Formats: sequence, structure tokens, C-alpha cells
Amino acid sequence: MSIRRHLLPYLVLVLMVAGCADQSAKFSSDRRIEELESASTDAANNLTTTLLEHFGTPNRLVSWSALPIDYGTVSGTVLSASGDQLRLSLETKPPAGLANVAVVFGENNPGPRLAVSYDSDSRMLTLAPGTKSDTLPPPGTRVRLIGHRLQQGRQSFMQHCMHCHGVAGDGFGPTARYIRNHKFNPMPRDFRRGLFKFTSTKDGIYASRDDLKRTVKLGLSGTYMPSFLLLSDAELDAVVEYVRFLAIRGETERRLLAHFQPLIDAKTPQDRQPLEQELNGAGFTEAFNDAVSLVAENWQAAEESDNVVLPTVARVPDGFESRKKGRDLFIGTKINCAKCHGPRGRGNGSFLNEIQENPETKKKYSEPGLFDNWENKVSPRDLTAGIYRGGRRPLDLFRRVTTGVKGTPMPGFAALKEEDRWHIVNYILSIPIAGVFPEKKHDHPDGDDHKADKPASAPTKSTKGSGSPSKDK
Amino acid sequence: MSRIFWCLFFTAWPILGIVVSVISPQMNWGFPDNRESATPLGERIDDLFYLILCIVTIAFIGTMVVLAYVLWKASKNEDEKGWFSHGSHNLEVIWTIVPAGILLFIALYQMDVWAIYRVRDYDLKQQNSPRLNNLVAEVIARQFEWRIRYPAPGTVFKSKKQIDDWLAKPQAGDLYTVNHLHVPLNKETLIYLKSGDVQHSFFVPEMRVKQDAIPGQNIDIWFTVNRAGDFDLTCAELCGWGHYKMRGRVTAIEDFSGFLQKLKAEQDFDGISKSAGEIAATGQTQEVTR
Amino acid sequence: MSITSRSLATFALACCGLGLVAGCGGGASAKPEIVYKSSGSDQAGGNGSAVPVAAIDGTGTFTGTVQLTGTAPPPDVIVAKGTAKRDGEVCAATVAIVDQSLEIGESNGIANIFIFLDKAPPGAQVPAVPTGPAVFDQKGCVFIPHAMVTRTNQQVLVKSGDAIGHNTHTFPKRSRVFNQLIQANDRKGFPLIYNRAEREPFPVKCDMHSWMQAYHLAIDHPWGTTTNAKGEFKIEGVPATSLTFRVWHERAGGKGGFLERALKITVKKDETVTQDLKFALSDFGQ
Repeated sequence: MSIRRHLLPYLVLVLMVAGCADQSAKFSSDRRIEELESASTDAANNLTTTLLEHFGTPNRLVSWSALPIDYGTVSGTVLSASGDQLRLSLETKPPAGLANVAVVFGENNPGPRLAVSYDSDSRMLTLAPGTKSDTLPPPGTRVRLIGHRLQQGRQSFMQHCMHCHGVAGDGFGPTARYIRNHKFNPMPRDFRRGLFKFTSTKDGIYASRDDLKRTVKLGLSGTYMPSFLLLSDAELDAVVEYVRFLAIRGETERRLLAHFQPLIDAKTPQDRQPLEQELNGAGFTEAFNDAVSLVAENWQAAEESDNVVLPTVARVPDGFESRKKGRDLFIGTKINCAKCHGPRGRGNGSFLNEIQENPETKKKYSEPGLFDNWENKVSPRDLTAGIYRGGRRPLDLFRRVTTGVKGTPMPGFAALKEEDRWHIVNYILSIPIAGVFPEKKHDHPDGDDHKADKPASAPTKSTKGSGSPSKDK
Repeated sequence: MSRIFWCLFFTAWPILGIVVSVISPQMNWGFPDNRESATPLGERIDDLFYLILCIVTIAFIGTMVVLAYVLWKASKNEDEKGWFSHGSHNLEVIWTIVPAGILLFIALYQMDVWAIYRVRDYDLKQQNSPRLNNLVAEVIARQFEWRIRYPAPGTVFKSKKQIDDWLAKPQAGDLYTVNHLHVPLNKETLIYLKSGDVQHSFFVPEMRVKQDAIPGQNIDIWFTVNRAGDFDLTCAELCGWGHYKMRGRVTAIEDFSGFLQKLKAEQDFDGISKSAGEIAATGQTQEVTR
Repeated sequence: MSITSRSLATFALACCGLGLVAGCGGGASAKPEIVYKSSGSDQAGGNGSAVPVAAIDGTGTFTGTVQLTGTAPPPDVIVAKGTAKRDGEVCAATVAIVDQSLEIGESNGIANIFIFLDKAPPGAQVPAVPTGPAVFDQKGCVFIPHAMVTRTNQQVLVKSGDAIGHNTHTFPKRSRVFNQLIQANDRKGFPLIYNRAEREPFPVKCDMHSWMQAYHLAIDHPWGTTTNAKGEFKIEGVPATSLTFRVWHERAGGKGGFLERALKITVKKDETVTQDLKFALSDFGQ
């Protein structure tokens, strides 16, 4: 009797607990997979199944040894085995709370098992129940516990990064849309192109682990990417590995979709048939292997020390002469910095008035301005602000000038002598403090009506260009 | 029957509250790590806190006892009806004047601490005031990090105007870090707090320092740290979706000028003049030197 | 009355209790399972078939023309002579800059068509990479040539004959991206190398001058070329076997693509195969 009177409250109670967390997380797919679905469900299924098999889901990750990722391996030997319990002697101390990692016996194990938990006091590893055909390894077998670093990376990523960068690292996390509202802030990085803007590596080379770690640790000043300085070193390394994992997965997905692009573009079933034959059968396997090996090689090459940009000439001493030379280079037409960055360094150069074409889709953009590889509108840096996203050390600016900003129209200036590049660096660092002109006398109006070829004439007295009480050496 | 239930119900919570308060020191449910404040001013704030806690506890126990008595009495008498009162002027006067007196006492008692905490820059207007050079850093609170700018090592501020100029524009030789603020030990420290976008709050619980960052204002924060070590810095004003993770660290160190020199060497690193190994040997502060 | 109020109280307490636990479990702190996948399995590596393939004996020549059926509209003028808003002393100073996306020459020959083999046929002897560099130049704010085929790992020297700075920004799908300033009047050239074979041509742009565009194709064999201004092409030393050529143009289908994905020919030793291809304006998205 009383239940009927209070039906509504009890219903509310039931509904409150019924909605508890859905445990099956998935990596968000690229939007073009839907287009591929409508062109050929077979191909789309092939693609998604392959990705699932080789990369897994956020709750069940695949640590594939073909990829240049440090999943976190702890090696050891089996001392004794009984039931699903193994006694191990491990070579290195495993992290606390080791659980749910892959266990591989010997070198050529057909079916690696899943570890449920590891107790470091008793050195007992509990395996998940296997199939009937699984035999326990004899004592003395080499064993590897693989995956703790990827696990930690995934946990940290989901906690700190996913809300902007998205579950699959596609830059479309739930809070990303609020960044989009600000004209001047870049969107969260979409890892799936394998491109990162601020690196220490040479032109065309991917970002190294150090670069990613530096970005996560120090943040990108002037953007919504905060600094995660207070995370421990181990956590930072783990997050960087997971970011690389997502980048590799995303880029593989993109390349496979590019492989299928003719199929998506085909307009009639007659066109589609032969394409499907060509692209979906052995052609798909080949494309997949090709994509993975290409991506893996690129990430591998980024770690080589040869590929780091380091100057061979020490920084030219910062002073009036150097800054003036830098400024002459900046506004001259031989390098044309001012055409994008503006003659006053405000980032409002006249090249922004042109309508560019997207080189991938061959469509012209709907508004004038510069666009990066992620099809976001970008503006050349306002050098008067003193905010340097890739780092403010002279070395960082030297790298920016030498290789440009990857994925954007900012080119590298490796054709210039290193001394000239240092002059430009000195000039850029002085702009927020000493103003755009090393000498105070001249002031030119904004805009590019002014012919900026001629360097400004020499001042009557040499100034250090600092107008503050601080002592600048 | 149910009257007794409600009587016990409303008595149980205050009793639970008092029990929790009494056992909280042992359970570490109190000040961070149950320790004393890291600043002398913080200790005075703690004293104030305990004073007010005492006064309020006495009042609390008093009123709850009365409430419990009234409920108990009422639950016993099923038949007696409540009597109607026209109010008592005397009672009203008493329970206005006594709390007012207590509050006035608290207000006067804490004036000193408030003055030390908030009214600090009155003598900065003098030229060459030695306290001008207690300026350690400018902290800009942004979504969702703390950007820190130290004046160039060797900078001497001779007037408040120079400080204002320094705050207004970046100067040559300034040193920049993020999220990790270093301050000198045992020396009065001045931090200017700015906001880069919305309201934040600079809150270092272990130092008992809390100051809201208002966009458009440069607000001075003064403290002297007596305990070396790391302290948590958190944001205490809801500033957006990342407010919960807007954490930083404040470290009090003995050799503050040495730290600035190291930071300067890192910030001036041009890739070749000083090898990464050399910087690492001196103990890098926070930057990756590749 | 008492029943109602008591059950309400219980209900209220129960709600509070359950509300505390309802949100638990899963989420960011869940420890994911790790599944190991060895790279010795069939999907990785990409080793081709171990079956040895017989070497192809002899070479031939593949030549022909590509023509447009119908009349092409005159190309758009992008920057009229002397009207360049920026760098006007150099860009369009003496001659107007014209849209090069569909260049039709005499007798309706289509220039800048790429004809190439997707991959070297199995068993073919691929000649070594030429030691000399290929040259990619720019003059009057126009890239010369507009379409170019190079070998992977062959040095390409990017030169400039203009007194202003240009940047050359390549967009390969597989090779390393190149984005560097080319100095004014750089006749020595800045070296550029494509390290991986591409499957189709890709654009090369100058970000400073938005009309400047060219197309490159980097392949790991020499059997690819572009048509000249008259629409003629000739590839010598082609392996004498059945081959499938691809025909690509930057305006095919409106946004660039293959005009023909499978142009099958059979070349016999020391013989010349000639193909005259014809395409209509509709194939170019018009």
C-alpha cells in the first residue's frame, strides 16, 4: 500500500543506480569512416577490425611489438607454477599495484596470458584463468610482464588530457569546443597526423620524446595547454608514450582512410566495384603493413641524435649591432619576415589578406588568412607580446628560425648563415622590451604601404635599447 | 514514540559533530599535515582560528544542550500543550548584546593580524624603502597554470614607480618559469599577483596565505617563510573546468640568488655555449635542457 | 501519518547513501588490460613473397600524347601584369601570372600530365639513382617546372631567380615534409631529398605567394614522366613486359586525381608502344 503512494520516489531511486558507468570505452573513429561505410561496409569493417586487433580499446590496449613504443617491460624467471599462480623472480622492481598486464613466456609464445595481480611480498603472480589448452610453463622459463607503462600513461592521459585531446587524441574532447570559441587560441592538438609544432628535430622529422615531454612539462605559454610540471618523471614518461601510441594509431587510421579515399570518392557502383577489389583485398594488407612501417620508422628516426637541431656557432652577443642586423633581415624582402609578421611584428602582415588553398582538399578557404595542416586558421606570432610558445631560450628560438613551425606556413631559414639566424633571434628577443626598432628615432606607420626594403638609417647615438631600471648584461 | 525518535535524531548530530572535532587532531583532520604554519603570520592566524573555535564551540554546546532538553521534555509530555508567549524584551536584549559583545571582541582582537596581513605597502611609497627589494616575483594566474616572472638578478628597485613599471612591461633579463615558485627562506617576500583572464586565488594552505587574483589589478602578497621545503599552491576561486587541477608548488630555499643564477643560465642556453651536461651537473631547476 | 513521515525519512536517508556510491567505479582510474601482440605474426613486416621472380629481359619505349577533346577556356589571370600588391617589383612585373592548373598547348595537347608506374614491376632491373641533382627553380614568382618527377634519394636543388625570398613547402604523403626559405637569387640551390616513394603526385607551394604551386612525384624507379607543353611524353628503357601505368593530373575530377588508374600496355623488347590519350573537359571538373 505504501509503495503505491510513494511509487515516484522509489522509481527515482531505482533510476539513480541504474545509470552507473558504462565500462566499454572505445576509441572515437575518424569521421570519414562513416563515409567509407556508405561506400563499402566491407572495407569499413576491415579497417575497424584491423585497428581493433592491433591497437585495442582504452580498456583493453594492445601492446604490439612492431611499434617503437616502450610499453614497460619487467623481465624475470618462473620459479614455480601451480594452478593460476606463478612464483617469479624478477630482475627489476615492478611498480606497485601491478595488475592486468600481459605475461609472455619465453620468446615465441603463441598465446600470452593476462596477469590479474602481482604480490611483491610473496612474489606471486596470479594469472587470469586461461583456456584448457594453456599449459603452465616449467620452472626456469623466461617471463616478461609487459604493459605497465602504457597502462599508467593511459590512466594519466584519461585523467589529465582526454577532456581536451579526446579519447583517441583527435583534439575533439568534451572541453575542446570551449577553446574553439576564442579566436586566438589554437585548438588542442590532433595527434593523428603525427605532427607536433614545437620540436627540436630537423625539418620533416617527427617530434622526439624529449620534445613531447618538454611540452607537457612546461606547457605552451599563451595557449590553453597548461604545464604539468608537478607530475612525477615516471608519469610524464608514461603519458608521452601513450601520446605516441595514440599518434601512431591515429596516423595509421588516417593512412588507411587515404588508401580507401578513391573508394569513397567513387560515384557509381560500376566505379566502386573494381576499386573495392583492388583496395580491400591483398591491397589492404599491403597498405596496412606499409602504413605501420612508415609511421614506426618516422617515430624511430625522431629519436636519433643526428636529427636534433643544434647550432654550431655560439650565439652572437646580444647588443645593438646584432639587433639592428636582425631587424634589417626581418623587414627586408630577401627573407620577407615582415610580410607575415607585419613590419611592427604584430602578426598582421599583408600576406594575411590573401585567400589560401588547402593543399589536401584543393579547395580555397572561405576567408583570407593563413591556415595550418589541421585546417585551423593561424596567425603569425605577435612578437611584441614576448610570448614564445615553443620556449623562450635562445636555443628554442634558433630552432624555430631554423626549421620553422611544423605543420604551419612558417618555414625554416636554414639557408641563412647561423650568425644571421642569431641576429634574428637577438632581434626577436629584444622586441617586447626595446620595441620594434632598435633605434628610437624612427617610427613608421602600420600597414605595408611603407616600402620596407631599405633598412632604417643609423641612429645618432648607440643605445642598448633597454628602458628599465634592470641591469642588462 | 516518534517524538523520542526525532529528539534523538536531532541530538545525535551535534554530539557527532563534537566527537569529530575532539578526535580530529589525532586523525589528522585539521590543518595540512596537522603542522604549524610555515609563516609566523600564519601562526597568528591559527591562534585566531582556535580562539574563534573555542568561542563558537561553547555557544554551540550551550544551544544544543538547550535544544535537546526542550525536545526531551516535550517528548515526555503527551498531554501538556505548549503555552503561548508574547516574547520577552529582556531576553531579546540579552541575546543581542552578548553576541554583539563577543563579535566586537573578536573584531578588535584580530585587527592587528589583519593589518599585518593586508595593509603592508604603506611604506613602499617612500623612496629607497628597503622593503621595495623584497619583491621576489610576479605571479600571473591563468587558466590553468601559474606563470611566474622574476626580475633580472641584480635588479634594485628604488621606488614604487619602478616596481609599477616593471609590473607593466616585460624587462630585459627577466626570468620566467611556470607553476613552481621559489622564494627565499627567512626573508620577507613580496609577490605581486595578477590575473591573465578570470578570477583566481593564490592559496598556499601551509603558509596560510590566500589572495584572490582580480583581472586588471596588481595585488601585493606579503609573507615570510620560516620552514624550508615545498608547499602546495592551489587555486581557491572557481575559474573554469580546470580549476581542480590548477596546482603549483612554492619552494622556500636558502640560496635564492644561486637559484636565480641557475635559472638565468638555463634561460640563456643557446645550445652550445654551456653544455647540457654542465647545467645538469649544477642541478637543473626545471627545464629539459635538450 | 507516522508511517508516511517515517518512510519518507528512510527514503531520504537511503537516497543520500546511494547517491554516494552511485558514481563509483570505472573511468580514468580503471586499469586497462594489456594484450600482447608479437610482430612475428602475419600482419606485420610486409615481407613480399619469397618466390623468386624471373628477371625481365630487355627494355622498350613508351611514348604518346595526351590531348583534350573540345576547346579549353583561356586560363584565368591570377595576377595581372604590374598589379601585384606585394613584391610587385618581382611578381608579375613583366608578364601576368596565369592559372597553370590546366595548360593546353598547340593541337590541344595537355601539359603537366603525370604518367608513371605505381611500382617497379617484379623482376625489373631498376637503374641506380642518378648522381646529378634535379633542379626545381622559381622565377617571376612562378615555379619552373610546374610538374616534375624525381627519383627518391636523388638530390633536388631548389633554386630561385627572384630577388625576394620565397619559401618552398612540400606536402608529400609519405616522404619527409620540406618547408624552407629559398634565398633571393639562390643559384646554388637548397638541397631537398624525398626519402620515400610516393603513390601519387603532391602539391608544392610557396606560403608567401598563394598562387605559386607546382606538383612533384617522387618514385623509386625511373619509369615516370610528365607531358610537355605540347602534351607529348616519352619514357625510354621501360621493362619489356605487361605494365599498368597511371595517368594523373592536378585538375582531374575537379580536385586532382587519376584520369586513368590502369592504363595497360605490353612492351616488347626494343619496341616502341605509342598511346594517344584523349580526355574531355568534363574529366577536369568543368
